[in-house]
Amino acid sequence: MPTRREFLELSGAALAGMATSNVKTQSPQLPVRTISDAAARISKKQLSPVELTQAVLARVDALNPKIGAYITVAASQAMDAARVAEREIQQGRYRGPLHGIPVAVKDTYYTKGILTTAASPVLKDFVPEFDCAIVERLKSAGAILIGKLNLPEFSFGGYTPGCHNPWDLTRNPGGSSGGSGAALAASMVLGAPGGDTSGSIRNPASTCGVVGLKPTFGLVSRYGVVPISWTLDHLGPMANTVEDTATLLKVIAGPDRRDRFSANVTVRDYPKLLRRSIRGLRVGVMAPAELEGFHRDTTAAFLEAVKVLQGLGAQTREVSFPERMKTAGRAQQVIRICEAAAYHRQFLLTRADQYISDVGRSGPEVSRVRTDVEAGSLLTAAQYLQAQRARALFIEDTHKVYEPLDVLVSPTMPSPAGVTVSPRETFRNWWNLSGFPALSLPCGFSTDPQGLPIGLQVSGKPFDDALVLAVAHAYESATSWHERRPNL
Amino acid sequence: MPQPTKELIRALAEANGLAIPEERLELVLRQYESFLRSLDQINTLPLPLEAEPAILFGHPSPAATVPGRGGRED
Repeated sequence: MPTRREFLELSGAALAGMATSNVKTQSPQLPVRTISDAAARISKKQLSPVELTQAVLARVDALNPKIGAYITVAASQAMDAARVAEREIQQGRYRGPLHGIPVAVKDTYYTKGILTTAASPVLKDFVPEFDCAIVERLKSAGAILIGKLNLPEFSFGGYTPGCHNPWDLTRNPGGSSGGSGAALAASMVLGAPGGDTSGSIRNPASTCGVVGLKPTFGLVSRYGVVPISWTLDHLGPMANTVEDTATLLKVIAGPDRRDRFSANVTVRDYPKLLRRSIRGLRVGVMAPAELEGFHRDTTAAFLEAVKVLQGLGAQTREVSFPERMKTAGRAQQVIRICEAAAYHRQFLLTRADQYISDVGRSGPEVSRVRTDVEAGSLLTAAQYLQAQRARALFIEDTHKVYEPLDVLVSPTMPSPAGVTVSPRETFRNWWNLSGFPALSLPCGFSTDPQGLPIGLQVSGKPFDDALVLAVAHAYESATSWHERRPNL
Repeated sequence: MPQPTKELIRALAEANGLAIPEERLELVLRQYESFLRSLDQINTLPLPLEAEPAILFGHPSPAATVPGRGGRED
């Protein structure tokens, strides 16, 4: 059984198609910082998609050896697509705000003709014959696919081995969409949709100081993505600002008959709906007792964020969750592993020895996928259904919690990257169980240790994603945390 | 409930058509026990007799919160 390092070396995954030895001391800078900046200039023909793509590829070339955000870089395909975009725009056929914009996707997303490994030796040779729904939609909007981003094996866990946090290279970017968070923070791409089964978009968004939205379950098609758990998996946008996140969501959201859980709802004009007052909105605030065990910098940043929202006119009220919801994490664990075990059975029967080995190893960097799915395979259908019955109660409870609210805010993570704390509860997987939308955006930086991002989670009612984005945008517009960038 | 053992893990795996190598049994046993502890906690919930599983869950009246259905606002 290979180790992760052996897998990455054997697969030749890092920077495929590019020179890896060209490590520069001064990283090349991008001409823009956000999708909206780039789109404004591209649409006026002031910025060329070819130049922008070249700049992104140069930065990836310079930084990926020390960040490890990309598993595969599709440089030649990206340049081909950039040239097509440039020609179209020159001919007056501008498609919209993602036309000519470099994006990258988690390596669980099927990409036609491009290696899709899910960071596992089990899929080390897997080259899909079609694009997943999100990549289809991104390409239709004219986006340029730069490559595939790092994650823990099969997205299991909140630690992305081999990937480093741009704010402190000795720390991890979190996970499972760790490569996505790291690439955005390091300006190695402008947009990076990820996946979220237990918090895997919001965790790295918080830890890397970027924005990540887990949309309402059913809003974004999951067709063509390596799953963990069919009833918990969500896919959603990650970017450097709320506006960019909204722009991505508008493109990737929408009904898709190929996804059995896809909802037949109208895709809203999320960027347009950002600019609204939050005066008088009913904002639930996680009660102080619920924050027991959180890092003091996280709690302080959260309380300051609440003051900012109050200053914008929000009507805040403290919220505590019903006691039985504290069992939600247990139900989530059982549901997740039973569904994962069903998916992985095909691999356990035919190539179990190809999983990254955990025998005799310990630590957060060690993949435990094989052990998890082997043990999950031994649970019964009745046990799985009992967890799903409990889930129905939690969903009902969540509706009751949100009934008197418009949105609810909480810290995204209990601590900054790599700082160990013992929280009584965390606030992420409830939203996977319930399917309610939840977004993380930067709300401060730690003082001890110095300079690590802290995230604020804004969550809302089903299909109120536009309101979640609007509240996040109002907060972001009143603060400057999102303007900070790591010194690389 | 009797304490699970490596023998039980081996037997359950075989019944499921899986062969778990000897050197992995201890790891799988510990993980299996963790799942059983979660199930014990779930079983303490007062589940009403009529509670149904949420496998194919949906959200109430999405049409009520979103104008129209299935199209795009531009």
